Amino acid sequence: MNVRFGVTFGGCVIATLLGASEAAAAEPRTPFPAHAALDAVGGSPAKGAYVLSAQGGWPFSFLRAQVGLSDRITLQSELESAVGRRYRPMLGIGVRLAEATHVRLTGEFLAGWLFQRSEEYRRGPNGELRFRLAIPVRRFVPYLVLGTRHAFLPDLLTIERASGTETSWSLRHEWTPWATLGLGFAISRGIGLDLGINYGWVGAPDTIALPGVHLGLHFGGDR
Amino acid sequence: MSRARFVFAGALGVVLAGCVNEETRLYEIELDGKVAVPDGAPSAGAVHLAFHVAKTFGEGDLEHPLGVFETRTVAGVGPVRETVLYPLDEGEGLVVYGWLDSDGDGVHCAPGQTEEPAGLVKVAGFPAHALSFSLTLRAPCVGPESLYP
Amino acid sequence: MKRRFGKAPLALVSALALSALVSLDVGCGAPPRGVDWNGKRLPAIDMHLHPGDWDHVPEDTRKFLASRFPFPIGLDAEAAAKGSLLPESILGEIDDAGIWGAGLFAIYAPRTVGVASNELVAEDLTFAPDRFFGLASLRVDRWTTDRDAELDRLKSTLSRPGFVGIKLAHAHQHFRMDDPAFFPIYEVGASLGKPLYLHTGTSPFPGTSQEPAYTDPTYLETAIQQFPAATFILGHLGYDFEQKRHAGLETCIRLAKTYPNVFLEPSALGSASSDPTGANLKEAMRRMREAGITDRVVYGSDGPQSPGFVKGYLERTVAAMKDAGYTEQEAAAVLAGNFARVFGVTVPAEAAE
Repeated sequence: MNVRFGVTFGGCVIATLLGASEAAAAEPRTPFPAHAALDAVGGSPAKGAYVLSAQGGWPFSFLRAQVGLSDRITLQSELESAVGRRYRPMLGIGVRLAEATHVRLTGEFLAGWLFQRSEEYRRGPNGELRFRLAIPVRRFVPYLVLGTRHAFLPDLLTIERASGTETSWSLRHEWTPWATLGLGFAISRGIGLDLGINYGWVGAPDTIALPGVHLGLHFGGDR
Repeated sequence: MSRARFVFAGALGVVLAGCVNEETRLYEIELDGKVAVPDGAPSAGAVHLAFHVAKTFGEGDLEHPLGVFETRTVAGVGPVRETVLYPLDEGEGLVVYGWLDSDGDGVHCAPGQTEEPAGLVKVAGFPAHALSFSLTLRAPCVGPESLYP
Repeated sequence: MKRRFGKAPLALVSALALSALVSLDVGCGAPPRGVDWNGKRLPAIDMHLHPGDWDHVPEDTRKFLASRFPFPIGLDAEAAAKGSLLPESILGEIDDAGIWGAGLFAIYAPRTVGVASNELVAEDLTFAPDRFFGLASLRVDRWTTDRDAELDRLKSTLSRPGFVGIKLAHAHQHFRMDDPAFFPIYEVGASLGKPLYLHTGTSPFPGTSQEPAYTDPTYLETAIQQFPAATFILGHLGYDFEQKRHAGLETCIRLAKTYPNVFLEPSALGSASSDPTGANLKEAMRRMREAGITDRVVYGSDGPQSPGFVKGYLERTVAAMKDAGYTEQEAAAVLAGNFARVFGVTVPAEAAE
């Protein structure tokens, strides 16, 4: 499995960067002030701009859409899947906290629902607070995402007594600290790629989680 | 309730019902019983009771007799009144197992101790919220597996 | 601009291509057999491996096992477990570890770890008949009614090729270690010359009987005395898997020193989850050597658990033996010699080359 993974991963990386270097050869002479790759990995596209992202990987894959409502506020929706057995549809806002020539810092808050189909079903409301730090250098955008996710899993207890049936609910908490370290690349102003390493410690601190990797394709533009 | 509220409550119910993770269904039983030892046998000491489902659900090979769901300790032999919560989804039937802690060490027949009697009874009438049983502790140093089925 | 972009991707491509190549395991053939002991290869046999069938594991235990797999493996625990419990996977694991032979356990514990039937083990034994050794088991949960039939089935299984012993787990199967009603099982072991492997100590599995009479090896002493012709292998050294500490180690050592028909097996207690610091396995190996009973210790891991576990456990055990000053002769006895003697197995020369 390791061999297959190594070859696949290496192949993806090589193919991506070969494509990128060809694109670089054909790039326009003016650098991109803002581009889809930056908006995707750094968050908070400007007012009127949007970016659609598809990131495929193991174990996490993502579909994400972001629309700039103002120069600082972004509306976003996201669907995350872990190996096709755990899904998180989310809706939220992003706030551009800092912006400079080579830095963009975004805070994001999302809320949604968790659906996990496994030996133990996990379903319930889910929220996430995360920060994106992107450092655009021409076409390249190294980025870091740090987040904290919280899911609340409702359990139902029913007690049949002689006097009648009582029901009560309780909630279990699932915490997932999250980190992504990646590199975005602008093929053009409207099309970008990214490659990232994810670590989502699902069920921390009582569990062990494996790190993952994703490759993303991003499309952006103005409304 | 307005129609809108009714629809909202219904929708909320559907959402919540579809999102239960663990559903536990318990059945309350008030047990009125008597624990005894054979005439003339030593009877001093606390009695440790274990309440079992008589048969645990399971597919094929995984179905098996017994399955403890609650334990209690009572002061000694004599009348017993306990309320237990029976796990409806785990099995069927009710069995009460008990042993006499003659030496008060909390261990059933620690090495060298051979005088702590045990007993088991399958409670008749299950399921019902009020049941009675009579348990005689006469078998020394055995677990429920040696007494049932 | 072109110049700036020209070389950086090429350098990155080269570096990543190199790393991709490095990630390829292009080793020529399987790793050598045996354990390296100061330059000499010693044969190894892992007496404690579990084949199985996910469908015959109770729901609570499936959840428990899924929760112990790292994320996201636990999301599809069935696929992960099914893969690792197959005989070809077990053979692959022992090959990777350099282990020559393996004991495959049947188990009938429907309340806890589930059922791996004698028939399943018999089938798995055919996959590597020269290297797999079966330990048969029996149901004890309807003992008052099915005892004779179960004993007959056990005897019949033990007469099949490849079955070398009996596996019991009082805590998982819910029967007291000192209950004479179950002594006929030991009698079968004695009369057929088939050693009995007994789980001792507590267990993390849901539904386990954790009371002393089901876990504390002290309670086996009556049976050990009563059946001197039966060989008792006390698995896990009475370890407390709930508190992750030694509980029955000294009792096991005392029993082994007192009775010639007692052997000890240090599986599972030294795993990363049960012994996070590695100190407990080292202490166990050290104490057994100090007690002068290295000729009574039979190596086992309690795998396959997860890919690489079998190899990792062997490495931890070998490291613990080296740490405790085992001689080559003592290590050879623990790793294979004692198993061969107890179970009457001949270890071929190719087991360590």
